[in-house]
Amino acid sequence: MLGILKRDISLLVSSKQTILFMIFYIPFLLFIAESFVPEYMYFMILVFYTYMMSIMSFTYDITGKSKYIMNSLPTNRKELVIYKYLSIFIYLAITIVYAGVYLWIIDTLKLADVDYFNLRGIINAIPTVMIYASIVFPAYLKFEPRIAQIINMVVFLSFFIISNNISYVGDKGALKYLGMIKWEYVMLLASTMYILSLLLSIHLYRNKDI
Amino acid sequence: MDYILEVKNLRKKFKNFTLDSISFNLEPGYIMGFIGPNGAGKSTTIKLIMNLLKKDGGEIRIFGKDHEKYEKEVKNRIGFVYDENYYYEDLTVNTMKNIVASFYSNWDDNKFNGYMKEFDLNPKAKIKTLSKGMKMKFSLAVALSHNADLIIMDEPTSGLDPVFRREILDILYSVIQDEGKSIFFSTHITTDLEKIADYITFINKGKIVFSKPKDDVLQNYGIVKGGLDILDGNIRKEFIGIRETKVGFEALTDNMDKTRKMFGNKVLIERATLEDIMVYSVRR
Amino acid sequence: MRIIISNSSDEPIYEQITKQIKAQILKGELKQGDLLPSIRALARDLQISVITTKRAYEELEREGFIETVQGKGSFVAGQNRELIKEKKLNIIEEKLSKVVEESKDLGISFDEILELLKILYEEV
Repeated sequence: MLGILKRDISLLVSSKQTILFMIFYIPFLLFIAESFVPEYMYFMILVFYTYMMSIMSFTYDITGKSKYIMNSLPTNRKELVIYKYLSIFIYLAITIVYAGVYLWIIDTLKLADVDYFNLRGIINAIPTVMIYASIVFPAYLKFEPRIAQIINMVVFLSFFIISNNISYVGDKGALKYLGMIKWEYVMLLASTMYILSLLLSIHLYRNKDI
Repeated sequence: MDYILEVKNLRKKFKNFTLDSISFNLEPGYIMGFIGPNGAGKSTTIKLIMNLLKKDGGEIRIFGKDHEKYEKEVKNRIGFVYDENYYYEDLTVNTMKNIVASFYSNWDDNKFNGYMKEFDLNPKAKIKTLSKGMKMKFSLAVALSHNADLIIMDEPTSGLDPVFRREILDILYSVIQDEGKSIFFSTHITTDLEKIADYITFINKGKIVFSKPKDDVLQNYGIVKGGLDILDGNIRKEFIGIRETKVGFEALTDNMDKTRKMFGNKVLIERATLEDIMVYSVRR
Repeated sequence: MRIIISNSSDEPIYEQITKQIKAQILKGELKQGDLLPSIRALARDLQISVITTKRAYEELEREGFIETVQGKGSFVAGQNRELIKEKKLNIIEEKLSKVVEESKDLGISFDEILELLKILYEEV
């Protein structure tokens, strides 16, 4: 699985597209979500980046033309799927560092009021990305890329809309809302969904024609 | 008998095409050419062997092991070259190599660098700058640099010039000097195989027409040329595929001796090439 | 050792190989104990199938011209005088049988053949 990780990291830094994405999306998000509380903004950025990176990596071996090469190497379907699910945590870690530095610079230069490290944000991001992965990953493994992308968009937009509405509920509204549901329960739900989704995905991909 | 590749009653159904109980075997130390017209099922068969497509039935054993149950182990010893080699365009040759190398337990960097020099490939070049031929060379270099015992190639030389194709044949000859290695090579450029192949498996419309030693094939198949007056209902049945013109007929026979005895001097019989065999068999 | 094969000849390639090797052994160009190329190296040099060279070597071994030692290779076998003579005669005998057969087919008498043989022997 390290080979697969190596590939993802290499691709992350060598594709012009991903580099542009990495550079411009933070300012972009800051711009369109100005009304958000800094803590919440941090949470959003973490989720957004982790999510985008893991979806992008689907084209490397599941939907893109290079899937033939990847699946011909000494690996198997199960391994590829497990890697995908584990990689969200790796991407989360990368994002924490990357966004942390980026936002710290912005904060230091006083360009905007941002939070560059928020433990609460991280703790809330974990179940969030797990739930996303649980819903969207099987879609990519089962359906055609186009349909999967639609599902991806739908889930993504729902998140955006929901978070928009939440943030209108008062100043610390979002966090209050999240605080209303015990984190432990959310984590339990997220973990269950995550594992069930993993098993489902392994089954789906195992029997798929590439 | 220890086969390096065993395919038994392999079946796969698509909407418009069925691979119908395909069977053939390859021993270590030999080259098998896999021929057939476009759409016959060559790529499908190879994809099934590599577990890129899921089989509907049958067995595939590689190195004596089930290819799905021991997928990782088996693939570690297979070098593959496809006709479309989609590597990651934005990466350099070297980066791509490093990624691939980390998957194989017997990667040999020296060998790879040797091939890079031989093929004149620049390790720093981005894959998107490589021509089709260069991509194929890169694929081949990778396939040959991890001590693979089975090399599987799916139409690797289509679109490449004859000079280069000869070079590839030379390389394959080198590989086969080791009698523990085998090569399975699908192509519709049959002239490549006429020299190098030890066995020929011919597939058409999803069925295996024959799987025999090449020498047997070339010695028994012949093109029969004669006058139209000889052709009648019974005679037609003797042949596989007939081409009739105003001035005579040409037909394929799979038993030159029998045909010679039947017609003596009334017809001209010449050796058939693999291409002839393919063309007439498909035409029938 | 010299082996030249023709792809366009009617004669099977393995036969061309055995013939040429036999001839060289009988003429003494290949001596007892000489190492022959491996079947794979030969296949590569001639750009033919390994099965073909294998068959050629197997036939040569069967007829006592070469010996194969596991792990070492194939060597020209020791040929005692009588055996060599016998082998040479075998080659001629094969050719002569064909001549006899065809002569009978074409209705040529034994005496006529003898006459022809005499003339040829003096000419060639």
